[in-house]
Amino acid sequence: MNKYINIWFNKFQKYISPAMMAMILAAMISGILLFIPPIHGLADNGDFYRAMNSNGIYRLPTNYSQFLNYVIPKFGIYQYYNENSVPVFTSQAVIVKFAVFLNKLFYSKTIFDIRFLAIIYYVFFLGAIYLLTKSLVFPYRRIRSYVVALLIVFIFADSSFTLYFNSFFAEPGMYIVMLYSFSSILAISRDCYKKRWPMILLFFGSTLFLLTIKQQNAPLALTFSVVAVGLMFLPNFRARRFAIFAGIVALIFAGAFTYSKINKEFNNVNQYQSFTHGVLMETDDPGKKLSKAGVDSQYSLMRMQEYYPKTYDTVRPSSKYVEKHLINKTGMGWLIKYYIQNPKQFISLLNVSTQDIMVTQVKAVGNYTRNTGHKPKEHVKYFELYSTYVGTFFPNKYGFICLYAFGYTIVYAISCYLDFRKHRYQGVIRFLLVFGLVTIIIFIPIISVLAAGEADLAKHQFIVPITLDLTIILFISDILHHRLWNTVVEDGENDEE
Amino acid sequence: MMKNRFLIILLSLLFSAGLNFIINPINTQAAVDKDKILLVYDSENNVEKSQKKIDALQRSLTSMNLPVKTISQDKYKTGMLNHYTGVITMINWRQVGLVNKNFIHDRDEFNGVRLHIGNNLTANEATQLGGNIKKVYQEQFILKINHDEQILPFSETVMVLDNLSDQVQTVGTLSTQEKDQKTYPYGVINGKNGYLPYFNSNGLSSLAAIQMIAQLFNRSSKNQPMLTITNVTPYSNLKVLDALSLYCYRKEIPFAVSASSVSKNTQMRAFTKYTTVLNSIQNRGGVIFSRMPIVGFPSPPVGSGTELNQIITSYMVSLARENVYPIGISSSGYWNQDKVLRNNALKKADNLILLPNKRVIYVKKDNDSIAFKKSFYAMPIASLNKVKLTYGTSFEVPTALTVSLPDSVTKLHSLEQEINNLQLNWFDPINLSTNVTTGTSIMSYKHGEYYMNGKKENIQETKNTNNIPIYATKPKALFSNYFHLQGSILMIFFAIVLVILIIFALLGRQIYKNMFKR
Repeated sequence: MNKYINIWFNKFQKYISPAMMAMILAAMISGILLFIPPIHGLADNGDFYRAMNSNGIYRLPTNYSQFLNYVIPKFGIYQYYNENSVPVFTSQAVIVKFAVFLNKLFYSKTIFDIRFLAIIYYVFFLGAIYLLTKSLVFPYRRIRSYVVALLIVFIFADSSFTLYFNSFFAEPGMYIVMLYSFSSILAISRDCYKKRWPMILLFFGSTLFLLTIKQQNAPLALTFSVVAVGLMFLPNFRARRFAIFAGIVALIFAGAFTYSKINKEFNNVNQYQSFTHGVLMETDDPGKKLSKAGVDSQYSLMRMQEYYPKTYDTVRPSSKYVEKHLINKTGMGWLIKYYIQNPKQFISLLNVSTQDIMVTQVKAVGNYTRNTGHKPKEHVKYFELYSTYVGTFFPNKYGFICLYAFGYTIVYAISCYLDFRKHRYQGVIRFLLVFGLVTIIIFIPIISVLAAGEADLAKHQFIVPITLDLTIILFISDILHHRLWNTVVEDGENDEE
Repeated sequence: MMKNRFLIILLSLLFSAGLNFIINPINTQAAVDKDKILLVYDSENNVEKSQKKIDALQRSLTSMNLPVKTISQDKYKTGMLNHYTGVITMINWRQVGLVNKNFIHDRDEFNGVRLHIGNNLTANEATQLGGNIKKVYQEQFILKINHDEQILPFSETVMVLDNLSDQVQTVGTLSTQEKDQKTYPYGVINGKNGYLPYFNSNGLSSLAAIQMIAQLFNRSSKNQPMLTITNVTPYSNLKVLDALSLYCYRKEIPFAVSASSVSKNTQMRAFTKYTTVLNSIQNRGGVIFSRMPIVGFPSPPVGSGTELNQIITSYMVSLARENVYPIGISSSGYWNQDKVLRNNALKKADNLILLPNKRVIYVKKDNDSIAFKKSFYAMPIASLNKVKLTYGTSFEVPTALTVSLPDSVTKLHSLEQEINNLQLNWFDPINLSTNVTTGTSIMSYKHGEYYMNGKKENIQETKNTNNIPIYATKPKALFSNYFHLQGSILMIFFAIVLVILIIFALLGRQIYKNMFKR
């Protein structure tokens, strides 16, 4: 019996690599969800216009609301001059424009089908799953490698991520390029491909995309510069070190550029929300603290108010008065000083911000299209086991996250130290990658609390669960393949030769 | 037997009707709604900011206790006019003018009060007004009325009436600036027909227009203006507000304050700080009008009526708890043109201040304004800068002259100077008798005394109820405590494991080194 299984497995492993298996499974699982009618996706929470209007797409008129409840599959394409200006600078525009182009080529010149957007994400996503699996298990094709492949599908093809593809959110692009950035570095460190330069290009390309897709990603430039430093340790690379250095400079510039593109209104929105949902929260009457920090204590009455009030509000937060007397006084410098004076409040805020850090499902909007017999705002329950599980059980303390990051760094620092002494590069590059990821896990919650308090946490911290998932799968795969501390692949162990 | 039963039913009916009358004694709208005006405009000429003019006209009619239905001419259908006692035609875009033949026909046949504002007077209308049309091109007129005068902005074409018959009444004059000054009448009234060549929302021309309209609709009355401090919010400079109210008190100037409030966070000290100032305003002869909130944007909150109702109730209840009793409501004029805003907010009070529109966001526009027991037509004092005001100056409708609360002490001093220089007899709100009905309670103001559900309240007592500190956190999910605990336990567990690991690593290294030491 065992013999037959062995023979069968040998044949299977010869034709289908773990990466191929992961890709096929992910293709089937997410393909059913996204493309087979009735399709699934995410309904508009009011943000779609940012990606639609300036790229020539408009809402077809309907007699019902197109927001929140149901996914809208069809849109109109502007036929004449489009007078809409670009509301926010984002590299997502490239994807949407490409989707419109494909739509015009294959489907219609007047009606846009959202699935053309999804198909672009889908193709790149499958490539990312392939590369991720390959870089994690290379050069092995053991049963444990296939286990890792299955885990990758389980974690990364989760519907909470793939549902984004049928939407105008910028998150799916961010998700996919993050997978590419991670796996390209890992692939370089493990010599998955004979030539290194395609992977190096892929790393810089996808990272530049990541930094420019959302304005809140600007600080990640520092993280990925650290990761890129790892490439300096590659052998025989002295001649091309300059190119790597130039790449790092490009990353920092991209971050700075994205940051500089944050317009005044966006800044005011964040500053106001960070005041009303941050400074005024997780504390008793904040009046005294405010006067101590030089802001009129009357503003404590603005607790939990929104910059764009949904129904009614006492004053208009965008009015000149509020801007002059509140927003202009509570800049980033003021915020940092305030939180240094009130560390207890800041820690409470951090704990609130990490409370639901692993929840990636978007609860506020529906996943189904209209007339499918589903209730408004109803959610898909298909292939969401992983996100449901970690969303619920992942420890919800910021302190835990710090400990996790600390322990994780130490584990990978050991192999880095060993490899560094033996002049091997795998452990070093991997450590710098891990170090970069850890900075995301530690600093993004801090930045999001400073930037917007407790408001829109899921949106501001979207990168954190992806990063945590990547660290988890990297750790599992390294344990299973016995290379947590010893990165050398023994002779005869290599299954890819 | 039958007869007896009939009697019982009749008696009980009468009794319930009487009871109803006792329970709901304030039904001001029903009494004044019998005269209704139809306002028809040609177009909302955005270039000329005609919405401002329409708003001012609507507010002035409301302050004359006239309900108004406003429509654009293309919405007019034959026979509509039969439901109204008066009609106003407003021309905002001379080049467009009236094109709806049905309306022109119905208007000619109409025998109620007719008023035409702006250009494009028809020959028929001129005959009804008892004069001849004369077009005056490219002129800058001087408007003169009641010993006051003001230079009007330059206008390309103005239609005036000439050769008026004797029974025609005129209000004010328009004179040219040339040497041989030519003079034309401004407002013209001939029986039930009236004509105003020019209407503006500010300055002397608005006063003159209001005077003329009031005369035409027979609503003239003599009113002293009410000094009203606007833009008062919990976030205003409260020291300046306190100082300004003290200044008015010392100068014996009665005044009103249009004050915003909050519906949440009313347990905070900041709220008490605000209400303390409002309370002292009441003790200094000032009265509070509750300023309505701003409407959400960019998308209007459709279906927010219930919430608005709760917010206003919360405003009143939380203020009353702190011994502040608003005697009425102040809002932008357009709130009276919106079904949701009017029904859920304005109708709670019978005394209003209608302020000029600033940022208009309708929830459910119906352009069907109602009249109130008293509504003050608000205009900024600054708009009367060029008008000579005297102690004798009176206004045709209840008028609130507004000053915006300054945000610094220096600006306060110049405002105090400005108020001091105004030689006006101010209206004393003590003469008002008002009711504000929210939920189950009625707040009343009569002869300068405040009543809550009929019980007199002493506003000099400070009722400081705010000593409950509140802690705000993000709303938590079910079982959150369990996961919170689980998080803490796991964290401690991890910390212990980490410490043990580090100790083991150090020990192991020591043992490893010792192996080579031998």
